[in-house]
Amino acid sequence: MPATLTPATSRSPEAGAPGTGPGELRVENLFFAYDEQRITLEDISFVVPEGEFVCLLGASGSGKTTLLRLIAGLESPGSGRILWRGDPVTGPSLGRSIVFQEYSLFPWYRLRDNVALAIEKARPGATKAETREVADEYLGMVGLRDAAHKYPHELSGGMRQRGAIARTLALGSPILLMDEPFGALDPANRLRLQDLLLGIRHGSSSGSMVIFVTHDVDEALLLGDRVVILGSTPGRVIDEIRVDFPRPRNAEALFALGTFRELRSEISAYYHRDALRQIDRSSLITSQQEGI
Amino acid sequence: MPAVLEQETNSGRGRSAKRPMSRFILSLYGVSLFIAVLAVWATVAWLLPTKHRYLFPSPWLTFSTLYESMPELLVSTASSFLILAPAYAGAVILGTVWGVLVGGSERLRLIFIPFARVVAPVPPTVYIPYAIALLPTFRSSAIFIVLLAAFWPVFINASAGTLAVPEQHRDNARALGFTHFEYLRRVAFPAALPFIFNGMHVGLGMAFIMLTVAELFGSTSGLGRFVQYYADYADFPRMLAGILYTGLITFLSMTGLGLLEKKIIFWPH
Repeated sequence: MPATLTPATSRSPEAGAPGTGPGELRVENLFFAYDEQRITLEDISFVVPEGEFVCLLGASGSGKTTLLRLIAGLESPGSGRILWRGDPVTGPSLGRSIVFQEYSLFPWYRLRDNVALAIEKARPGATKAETREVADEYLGMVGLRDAAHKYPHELSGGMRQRGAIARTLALGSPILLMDEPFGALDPANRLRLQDLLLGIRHGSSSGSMVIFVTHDVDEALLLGDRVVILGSTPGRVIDEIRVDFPRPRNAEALFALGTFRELRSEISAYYHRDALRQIDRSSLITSQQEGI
Repeated sequence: MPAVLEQETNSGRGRSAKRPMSRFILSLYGVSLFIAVLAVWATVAWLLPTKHRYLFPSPWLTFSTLYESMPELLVSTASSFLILAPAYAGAVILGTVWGVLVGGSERLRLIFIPFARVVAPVPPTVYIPYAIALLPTFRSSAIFIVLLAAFWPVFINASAGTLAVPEQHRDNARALGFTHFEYLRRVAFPAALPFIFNGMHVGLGMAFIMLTVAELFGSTSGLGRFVQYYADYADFPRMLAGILYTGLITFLSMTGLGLLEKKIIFWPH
């Protein structure tokens, strides 16, 4: 492959480093437990190639957020490993930026200054004026240029999440991690932000890998190139499904497709089987404990 | 029985918080409490035989003496604030910087928190005689004592606040690749501000107490000295005026600090 075809990703330190292995994120036999009684993640393995949009779909208790935190380097695995371009993940890095469900922005900084924090890291040499200008550009991408001077508490929940996305984009990381970023929004706002995310991704040439955690089947199918389905208690990979709907996608057209509905009911069935298995097991345990 | 009492007060509180009208009425009661105290004071002074009137002056005599003494009281205020301001500012700056540094580092916590646990509870009044003996001027020893008294609450609250920074903010700082000092300056310090202001309120109260006590010991001017001086000469109207005036100054300083807090911490927390 000619050198010019390798994706030019970002300016942040780690992103510029070539790495020693193939351009992929590799999760290998990952185990994790917060305490000794209960395993949160059991033997998780999957591979995400560079530039792919993958959704981690799971109910509560599937450890999907924990898995994302492990990939971000905010937690360390009990055993197993995570490799990015062949190098093990040992801690947080500018090469892997993360958007949380809520409270990603610092409440004491204006929106512009929140985004500027990322730009100062991504472009250490930039002057104040340049940083400000670039921050406004990224805010423009999410439709918040006019709100740049506002503080997070002056914005709606949807606007705050857009601001958090702008800050993450400004880091220019080759991996974007999103932990149910639209989970706290009302349905209309959620659709709007899903559309925005699809639009940004379609319009940009950066080709960052996105790992998107959700419990919403529709959301996973709308956004993802692939869906990794996680089962609950302990969290483990049940299945991986390719999502081949053509892009650009939009919710309305997609929901009308027969193939979409088939895929959705197939995934929902998996989901429900696992949930039912949980209920069976837990009711068995409680009835034994109560001696009925 | 206590459970029943508790329940009643709880339900009462819940009801008053819901209706804005009853809050207004409660604050009217608050104001009338002042009037009631004044009325009792006036009545007692009026009922006393004339020979005791100087020992227990009427509100009228006290307030007119307060008005007369204003020039002297203003000079005393300036003298007291020349001790209070540098000492309190020093305590706030040192307490905040040191508290955030210690709260943000496990190593520093292990070294300094046991030390603070032992030294902080010592009432600073016990240092006064030695400080006056040791330091060259009264002013320097008073500044030292007031600074010490206000330092501990600020330090302890600042380190507790830094320790209590919400996980989410820490994660964001780590994900943004902040260095330790960037984290302390841009995340831990602002996040700890509500705690720090809490410590500053306690510290300001302590500072006023220590200031007036120190002035009783060896000063030639100042608010505490004013009260002590006229008590020594049995000029009780002037002494009472000094007490009321000191109370007013303390109240105004506390209110000012509260307003500053509201202005600085503008985000919901």
